[in-house]
This record gives sequence, C-alpha cells and structure tokens, in this order.
Amino acid sequence: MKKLLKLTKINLLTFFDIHKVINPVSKKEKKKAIWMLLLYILSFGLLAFTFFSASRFMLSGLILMEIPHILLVLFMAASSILSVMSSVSKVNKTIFNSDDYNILLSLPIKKSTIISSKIILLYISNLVFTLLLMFPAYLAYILKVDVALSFHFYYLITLFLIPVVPTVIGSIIGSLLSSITSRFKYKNFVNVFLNLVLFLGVYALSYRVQSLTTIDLANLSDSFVSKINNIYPLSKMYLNIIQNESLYNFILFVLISIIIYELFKYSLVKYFDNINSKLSAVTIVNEYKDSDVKQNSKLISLYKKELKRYFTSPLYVLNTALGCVILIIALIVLAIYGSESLDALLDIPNLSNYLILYGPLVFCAFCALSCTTNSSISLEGKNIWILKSLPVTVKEIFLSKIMVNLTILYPTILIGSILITYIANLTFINFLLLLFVPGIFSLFISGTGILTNLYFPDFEWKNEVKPIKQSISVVVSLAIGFALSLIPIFIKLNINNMLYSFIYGLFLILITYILYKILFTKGKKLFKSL
Amino acid sequence: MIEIKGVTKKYGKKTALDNMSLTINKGDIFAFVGHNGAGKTTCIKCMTDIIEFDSGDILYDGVSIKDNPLECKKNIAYIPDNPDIYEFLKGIDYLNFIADIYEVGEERLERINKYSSELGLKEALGNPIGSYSQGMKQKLAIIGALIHEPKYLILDEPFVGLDPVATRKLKDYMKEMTDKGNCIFFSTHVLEVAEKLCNKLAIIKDGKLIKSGDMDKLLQDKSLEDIFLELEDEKTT
Repeated sequence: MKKLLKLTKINLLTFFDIHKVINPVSKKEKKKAIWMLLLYILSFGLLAFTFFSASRFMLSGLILMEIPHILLVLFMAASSILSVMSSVSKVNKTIFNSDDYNILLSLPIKKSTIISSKIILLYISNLVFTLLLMFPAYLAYILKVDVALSFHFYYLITLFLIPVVPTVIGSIIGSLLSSITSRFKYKNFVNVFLNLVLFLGVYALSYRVQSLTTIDLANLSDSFVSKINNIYPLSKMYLNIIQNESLYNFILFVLISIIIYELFKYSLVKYFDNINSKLSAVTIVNEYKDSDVKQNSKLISLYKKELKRYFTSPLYVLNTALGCVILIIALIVLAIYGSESLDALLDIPNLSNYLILYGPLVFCAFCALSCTTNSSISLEGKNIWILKSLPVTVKEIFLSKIMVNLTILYPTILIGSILITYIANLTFINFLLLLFVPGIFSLFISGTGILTNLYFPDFEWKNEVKPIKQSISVVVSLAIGFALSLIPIFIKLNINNMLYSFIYGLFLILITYILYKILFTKGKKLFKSL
Repeated sequence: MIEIKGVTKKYGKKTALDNMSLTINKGDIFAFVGHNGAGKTTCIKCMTDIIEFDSGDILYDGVSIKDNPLECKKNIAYIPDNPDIYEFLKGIDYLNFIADIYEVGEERLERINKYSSELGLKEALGNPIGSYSQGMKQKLAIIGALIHEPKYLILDEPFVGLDPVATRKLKDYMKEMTDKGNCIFFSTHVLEVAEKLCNKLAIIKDGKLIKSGDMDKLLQDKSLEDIFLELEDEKTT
C-alpha cells in the first residue's frame, strides 16, 4: 500500500506539473509553473461557476415540475460519458505503453501495484472533471432543495465512485480500438474513423436530447433518464439513491464499482503483458525503393512533415477536425431537409437572415475550435532539437505549422459557404463574405495558436493528450478565438448585415496584421529561447 | 575553423559554461571529455544554435552563429547523444526531409544508398522510425548528418548504442571527412576511442576548460584515462 501511494503521488505530481513548482530547474521555470497552475485554477474556477449557474437555471424549471433530482442524474450521466471518452483517448500511454513500465517492473514492486497506480492515475484525471461538474451542481441543489442529512452522505460518497466504472469501460473500448486498428496497414486512418464514429454517436445522442428539450423538458427528462437507465444501469441506481435515498441501491452502487474495478485490475494483471505487446506491435511491411527518394523545397518539406505529424495522431485529428466534420455534416443535413424544415425544427423564423448575419461568425467559432497550431510547438517534444539545429528560419517553421491549420480550415470554409449559400438562398456577395471573414479569422487563429503555445510550451509530456487537450495554450487560444467570434454576435449595431460582416472582416485584417508582426518578432525570440 | 570565444551560459544561478574558449582547426578530430554534468552537452547545444548563450561568440570560418545562424548551420551537422527522431515518419521520409532542408540535389539517392547499406539500415528505411531500436535511430541520425557533406560535424556521445560494424564505419567516415579538411568535434566518455581517434583534446569540469591542446603533447607517455583522473583529483583536492 505504501508503494502504491508513493507511485500514485509521483504520477500525480508529474501529471499536473506540480513537480515543476516543488523542484524547479530554474527560477524562471518555477515562475512559469506557478502561472500555469494559477491559470489552471482560474479556468477550473470559471468552469465550476458556469456549471453552478447552469445548475441553478435548470433547477428553477425542474423544481416547478417537481423533478429537481433529475439535474443530478443528468450531470452524473454527462460526467460518466466524459470519463468514458477521456479514458478512450488516454488509456494508451497511461495504462498501456507507458514509458516507465519497464523501469518500474525491474524494481521490487508488485506488478499489481504498478498497474493499480496506472488505473488510479486515469481514475483521478476523470475524477477532476466529475468533481468539476458534480460539485457545483450539488451546491446549487442543496441551496434550492431541502435535503436530509443522509443525502449529503450518499451524494459525497457516490461522487468519488461515479468515474470508476466509466474509467473501466473507456479503457476497454480504448484498448479494443487500438488493438483492432493495429492490424490495419493504414491504422491511423482506421483509428481516426472508428473514434469519429464513436464521437459522432455520442453527439447524435446529445443532439436527440437537445431537440427534445425544445418540445418538453419534462418529457425530455423522463425519456432521457429512461434511455440512460437502459444503457447504463448504474444511473438507475443513482436515480434511486438521489431520489429515494435508497440504502439498498447505495450499497449496490458501491459494491458494483469496487467489484468492477477489482475485476478490471485482476484481468489487467493477468493479461497485461499480452495486451501491451499487442498494442505496441508495429506493422513492418514497407520496403524501401529508390523511387521513395524525392525532392521538395524547404517550406514544402517542413509542411509535409507537419502534415504527417498531424495525420499520424488520431487524437490530434479528432480534437481539431471534429468541429469541422460536425459543421459540414450538420450543413449537409440542413441542405437535404431544407431551411424551412430547419425553421420548424429549431423554431427560428427568418433563419436565412440569421445565417447571413451569424454565418461568418459561427464559422469563425468553428475555426477557433479546430486550431491545430496551439499545441504544435509542444508536440515537437523531444524532437525540438531537429528544428533548432537545422538551417531553416523560424518564420519558415511557423509558416509550415500555419499551412497545416489552413489545409484543414479552408476546405471546410469553402464547402460550408457553398452549403449555407444553397440552404439560405444567399447572394453572391454574402457568399464572398462567408469566405472572406472566416478566411481572415483562420489566419488570425493559426497565428494566435502558435503565439500562445510559445508562451506556454511543454516539451516534457509523456502522453500527447497533455499538449493537445490539457494545455494552457489550447485553453487560452480557444478563449481568444471564442471571444473574438462570439462577442460580435451580442454587439448589436444598427447597420446592414453585410456591412456589419464587412467591417468585422476589416477589423480582423487589422488585428491579424498586428498579431503576425508580434509573431515574427517576439515569437521568433521566444522560439529561440526554448 | 570553429572558434569558441569566451562563451558563458547560465541556467538561473548555475553557470553551465564559464568563459569557454576553444579553436578547432581544419582537419581536426577534437575530443571533448568531462564528467557527467560538466557542461559538454550545453557547449555542443550552444555550438549548434539549439540553445542561446549569455555572452561570447562562436564563429564558423569567421561567421558568427549569433549574427548569422542560417549561414553557419548550412555547413554543420549535429548528432545528439539520444537521437529522438520523428517517430511518425518513415526512415526514408526523415532522410528526404533533411536532404530537402540542406538543399541536397539528386546526389541524395546515391548517398542514402551508400550510407544505409554500409550501416546496415537500408532494409529498414521503409519502416516507421517508431519501430526502430535506439541503435537504428542513431544510424539514421548519422546518415542524416552525412547526407549533405557538412564541413563541421558535431557529435554528442556518437558511439553509444552503435554495433561494432557501425562504430567502425563511423570512425572511417570521420577520418575521411577530416582528410578532406573538415572539422569534427565530439564529446565522449570512451577515453580509448578519443585517444586513438583524435588529434586534439579538451577536458571540461564544472563548465570550465581545464586542459586543451594536441593529444600527443598532452598525453606524452601517459594514457588519457590517467590524465583525466589526475585532473579530476587535482580539482577535487
């Protein structure tokens, strides 16, 4: 147990970069680590406040319908889905294929202890998100609803058990996906495709739920909870614990969570090496031919290298291209069913007017969501020496990374603009504005991504989940992108829609020009000092 | 010729390189020796523009790496002690990438085939670097370093992880290079190799150069191991 605690402590210190604050290499690094920790806390605080406000808002409606407990079950389901998805992407490299496994195995530590420490790390990373969602909901709930003392006991105990089963489910799905895809020649493509199907499945489910909310919240709650209960029996038990304070269901919930964890641990200890070697197996089938030797210009070569980096990481692709894919799929669906059906479905009269005004801005928000550059510097990781020692300018390095982002964004903008123009019968000028505004925004967000990553780089990651999904640079660039694309929606100027978009476009040109000036001066210095 | 002129590099309060000065002439194979953490890798990283230094300068044929890094780096090849190379690329993709950056023309094909055959890596060039062993990565880094026929070869512990055939080949390549008037500067802990292969030597301790010069003059009738241990003792007592 002592060894397990020690291993878990080390894992957590590294995972949350706390070691950089406790044992910094230099004062500069300590300062940076403290700032990053503060930014993490601030982001978490803001998120917690948002969830608290959302819970209060939802509760006022649910209390009227006398089903306030539904809020907690919904949040429990949401955090369980999040935990499953996060485990799918993290299991490889956190539990399997971890860099320190062989070293740890050579030490006098039981295999079961090492594996437990890995599962616990994954569990704790999911617990953070569960607490972030569920604790503000709990506060909002106890402030508005009278609860018995036993409720607090049941709620707080189950709070820590909620991520256990989703962690196990996500780990199994993640390992299955990796083991299936490792058999294919184009395994990354298959991996991206399977993950995309999984993510879109979850989105489709939540879209169905959303469309129901507009009809009837009470029906939605019943229907959603019964659907979730069918798929995930633990949510039914949770409903009984919250609603009826059922001791029987509470004991069952605790026992099932513990048993599933133990069974998972037992199976892992038994089959770990087998699974690990299968997951780390590399298909070696390609023969080198003289025709593989090809010449390119410096910039094209850097760009091709960046593009390969992008497409060989399913996580990178999923995290950045998913927004583009959802946008295009949604627009294709709209194109097929027509704008009138959309008016009726979303109950928005005069939809085409909204599309003219907000279309470019909504595209910009999707571009912010699909920024590939905000982790591109960190993703160089231990390979950073290559770029720094080669005779290439910093500008060329930045441009190659920006070009990859534009390769993802520009086709999306073009297809999206054509589809919206077709759906809403827009004029050619509107079509041009749909291309122009997000086109400039793409340049802006690509540069912003690099600059924020230069301010918050991380080359010591072991799992690429960290730079891609959990880095400050991603959060900051996303916040800047969202602020710049969504705030104009709330600023109501009493002018023509087209003129409004045009002025916004000109404003974007100005700030993009300033940003690139900073990127190629201050950014260059930051890169050299890495 | 490489001239390191009074280079100082600090990490916070710790001085990793303290007013370091060295000259590596054409045709030199220069060994750089020192205990772990002495400052060898820091010096090499400064020489290759991987990290910036606080004061001093490094000149390649009179051109400053501080003022004109691109011009200098066109003629430099660097191999790190632990070659972390893009695992998502195939071996051949990496070599194409390096050749493109150094603007190597059609002659790249002949060079890739020559070096990969001699180092026993040709069969694996079509595979992802992620599937390579440490030694194979080291061989790939060597091919990448030689593909553009650099004037200056800077290596950090180049023999670690290499099999005997590749070790011998690398020594041959180094001799061929210096015969053509190029410079080689490398750090090593394998004192026997340094003694047999190099004509110049520098010993560094705690960021300071404690001995440098011609290998023959420094050794006289002693072994490099004896000299190294004597100097280490002198400084600690």
